[in-house]
Amino acid sequence: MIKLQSISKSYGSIKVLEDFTFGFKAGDTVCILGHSGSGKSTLLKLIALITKPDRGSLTIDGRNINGLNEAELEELRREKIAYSFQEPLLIPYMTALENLTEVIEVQNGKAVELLSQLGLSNRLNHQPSKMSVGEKKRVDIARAVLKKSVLLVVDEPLSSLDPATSLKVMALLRKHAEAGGIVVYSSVEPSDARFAGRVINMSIICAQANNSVT
Amino acid sequence: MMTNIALRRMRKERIWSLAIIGLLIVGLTAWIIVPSISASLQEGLSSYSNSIATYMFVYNTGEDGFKSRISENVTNDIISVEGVQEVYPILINFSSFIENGNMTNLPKGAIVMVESAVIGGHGGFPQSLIVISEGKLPENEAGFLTNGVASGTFSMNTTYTAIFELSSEDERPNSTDLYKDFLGREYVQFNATAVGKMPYNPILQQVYILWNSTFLRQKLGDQLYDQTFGGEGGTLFIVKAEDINQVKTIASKIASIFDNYLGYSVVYDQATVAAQLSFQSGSGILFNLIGITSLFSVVSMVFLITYLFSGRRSWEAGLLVTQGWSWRRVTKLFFYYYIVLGIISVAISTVISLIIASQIGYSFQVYGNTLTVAILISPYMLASGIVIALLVSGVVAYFALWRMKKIGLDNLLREY
Repeated sequence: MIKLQSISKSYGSIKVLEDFTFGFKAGDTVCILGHSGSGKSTLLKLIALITKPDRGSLTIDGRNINGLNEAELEELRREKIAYSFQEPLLIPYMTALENLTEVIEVQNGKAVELLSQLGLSNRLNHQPSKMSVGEKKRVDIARAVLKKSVLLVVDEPLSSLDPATSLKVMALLRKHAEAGGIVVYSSVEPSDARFAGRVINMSIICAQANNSVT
Repeated sequence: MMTNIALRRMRKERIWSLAIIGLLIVGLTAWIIVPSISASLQEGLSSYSNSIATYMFVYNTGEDGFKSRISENVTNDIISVEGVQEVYPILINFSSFIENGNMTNLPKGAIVMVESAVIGGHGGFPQSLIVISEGKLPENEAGFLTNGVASGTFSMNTTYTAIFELSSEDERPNSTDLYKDFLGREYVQFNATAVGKMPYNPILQQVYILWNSTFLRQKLGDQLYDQTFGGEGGTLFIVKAEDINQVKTIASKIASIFDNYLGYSVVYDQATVAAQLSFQSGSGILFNLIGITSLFSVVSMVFLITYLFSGRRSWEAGLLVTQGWSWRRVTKLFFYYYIVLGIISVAISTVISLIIASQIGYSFQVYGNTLTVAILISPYMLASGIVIALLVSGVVAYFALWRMKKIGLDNLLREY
């Protein structure tokens, strides 16, 4: 269970979140919808413990992150959170397979199986520089999925993917939620919200946050 | 696993890694070679000075024609002086040469008399102190060595006629020509060639020529030989001090031993001793400064380079942390990476240092001698090079961690 209570976050004079409250529970698939720059990634980074709120509290399984030291945050990231980047981030000197087996230390067989499932069986031993953006995106998502964390955070999973692959990816995310996990993903396309149980419209939240200034 | 990842990172970042390795090599080589050169020079010069300037000479002015010899007891007295390492009692005597022509037309006063000794054996000049700068040591031949001063009189590879006066009691050697001068004095006369030259050296001034003892004994016969260069006692004492710092004190003590012997005085090369003592005290600081400067330069340079490099691809660290890696584990990865670079650099630096050392040799002209100082790589410098590489790797890795934590995870990822 993840709770955001009266969260505020700004970058300089730009307010992204103002007094934002929301909760995620096991089995949730939540889509964060909004235009570019509306704060989708910021919200995802907040719940993935990549950045901290300026105000408010974020609790994960009852633990308020404001009271945690770096070691405890590391433990939460390791045990509870899997994160996939908007722009696929892979270690450049590792192959697609190694980016799974060595970064999150998952078994080779499981990594091969999932990458193959995502149409990457012929890219297993390719380094990122030899792969397209879409292929790298799938490797990045596969790494997050295979981490088997309760909270799976995916920033724009369907960007750069063709419709068929998008369906495969969303099927994976939904399976994770059905297994009792929490899936939070973002998109700029309103149609992508169809895969989610709940939707947060960041365009509205961002507008409200900045209106409150005036 | 970490080493494996570090190696792959190095391969991927070939150019940067090679740049770091290159600069590390320059720094570490300087660190290894500069103090090694300093130490070798210091050691070489010090060793030379210690081996030359630690000698003292108790010499007889020869006013009595070297007739009186100092007994063995005095030798024992000298050796019992604290700090004396070795005493060489040497028998000095005059050797006479006919300057022009031979005895038959010898005008009075045309005889050159030079102080001389034989090489080796009891009463002989120690072979270990002989340095040949030209020619060779006489081996069972009609030859002799000259010193730098005498070389003005004797030309190399020129044959001279030597004469030794015989007293009425002396046996007449069979194999030697005998001549009588107009006063009725008898001489042994033979030809001998100047075959080698000792360089001019203050410590050897007292001995103008050195004979091959076997040859001379054969020419003079046992009786005359023993009277001039053989038998007990000595007329010149070469005393070796253990340390250059003790020379002055020992010289003073020896002088008091010889108080009762007229015509003897103790000399040593005061200029060299003073210069060496000054050299030791002055150069010690200089060489230490060179070492410290090298160390400081190398560590600063290595640290600066690796610090600048640590900013590259720091998003990798951010990525790994978001995937559950602890900062400690990320630091370990950086540490291994720098360790790999450090080890490669140390290995190459060692080889380069050894090659440079084998190619460099310093030569100095000292008292006419060529002093060659070989550069030896100090194992201490090699070991410390490895330690520096390890320490710098560790410090840089932790510094990089500190820097990345300060930047923050979010900002690190923005650097992608």
